[in-house]
Amino acid sequence: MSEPGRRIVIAFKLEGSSRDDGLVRFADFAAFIEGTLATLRAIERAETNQRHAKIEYRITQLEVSSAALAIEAVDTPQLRDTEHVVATRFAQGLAAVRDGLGEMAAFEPPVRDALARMLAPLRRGVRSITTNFGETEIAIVGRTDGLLTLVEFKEETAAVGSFSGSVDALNVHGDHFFYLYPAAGPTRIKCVFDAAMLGKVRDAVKRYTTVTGLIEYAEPSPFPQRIIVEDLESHPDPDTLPSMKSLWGKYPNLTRGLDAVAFIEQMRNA
Amino acid sequence: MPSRLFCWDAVTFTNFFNGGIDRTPEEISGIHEVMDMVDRHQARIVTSETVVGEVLEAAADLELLLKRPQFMKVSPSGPIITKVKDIRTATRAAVVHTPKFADATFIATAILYRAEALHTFDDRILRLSGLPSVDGLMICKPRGEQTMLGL
Repeated sequence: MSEPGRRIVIAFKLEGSSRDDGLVRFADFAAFIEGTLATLRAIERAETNQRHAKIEYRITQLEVSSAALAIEAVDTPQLRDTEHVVATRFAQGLAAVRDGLGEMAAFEPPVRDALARMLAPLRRGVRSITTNFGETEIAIVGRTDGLLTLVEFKEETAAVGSFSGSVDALNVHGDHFFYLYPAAGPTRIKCVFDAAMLGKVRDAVKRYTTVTGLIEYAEPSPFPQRIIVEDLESHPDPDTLPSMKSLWGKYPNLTRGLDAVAFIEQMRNA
Repeated sequence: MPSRLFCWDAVTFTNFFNGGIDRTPEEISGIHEVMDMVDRHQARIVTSETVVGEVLEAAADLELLLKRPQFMKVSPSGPIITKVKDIRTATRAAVVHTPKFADATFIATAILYRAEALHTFDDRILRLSGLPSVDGLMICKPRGEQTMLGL
């Protein structure tokens, strides 16, 4: 789908319904373009774990009469690897919508929401959306099961647990919340806290922190959607924490002469 | 460029802490590759929270290490447990080694957090690498060289 070293070009073609003689309504086309950009940016934020998307796209082809559009990522050498990751993930997202909900579980809620916006015209006057990534073509025709469930299926569960990440974007107007930016997994998690914890939260801003509380999930996403904070612990400055190199081989007798695999198995059976 | 993400299981952390005394020089070299990448912020490690209970006397140091921003420990909560069940059901149906709950937790964590690979030295788990019943997850001994599949 996306090969490092080659420029990213993504081409789209929309087909309107028969009642419009195959033409695409302008409102649907506008919604599609807006949703496409939102999806690419949501994927980039998810893949890079950054708060802001940096890749810029420009139009290389636009045919309003046949609702065809092609875009390419503006060449920015330091972003080339990210561009390929985003394009690949974008293609995987479209394929997941085409093939059904199961594959959608690996996408975060913001990406799924953006995909739902991008493909919303399929629930109105657009009959099909075809996307080309080089020689790979992904055609979504009509209301696939994946599309319908993408929009409608949300089952919420909750469990007590903890999650670590950098605290940022503190809001104290109205609801008290901040965003937690983990090292892996979801791009960010909204964390709601009681006003009494404000001092502790302020101290944690910009620091890597473990938040404990009620973690809410909106399935099928495996990632927390929201945490009701019960407590939080800011981690020490990384410079004061041991590095991997400093801990390597520190416990030569850890396995008491056993192979590590046998040792772990013995521990689990003890 | 996004830093790379690996998942380490309890066996790998154990070999990290005991200096790989039961490992070959090549295997130790692979651990060092990953260590160097993590210490240079070029890679992250995700693992299951359960690992803290498996390395015994090294647990306190492991907890300190996991406080570094390059590490992420994941609670074995609802979505992970659901994935563990799926993995065990799928491997059983495929008549391949069915990982025990603890091993399946690391596999589920690697899959759901989209790690590039799960690193382990357990041959039974290594044999599951790439199989559909583990969603095609790459499972290999620790190494820092390119393991991403080209698309």
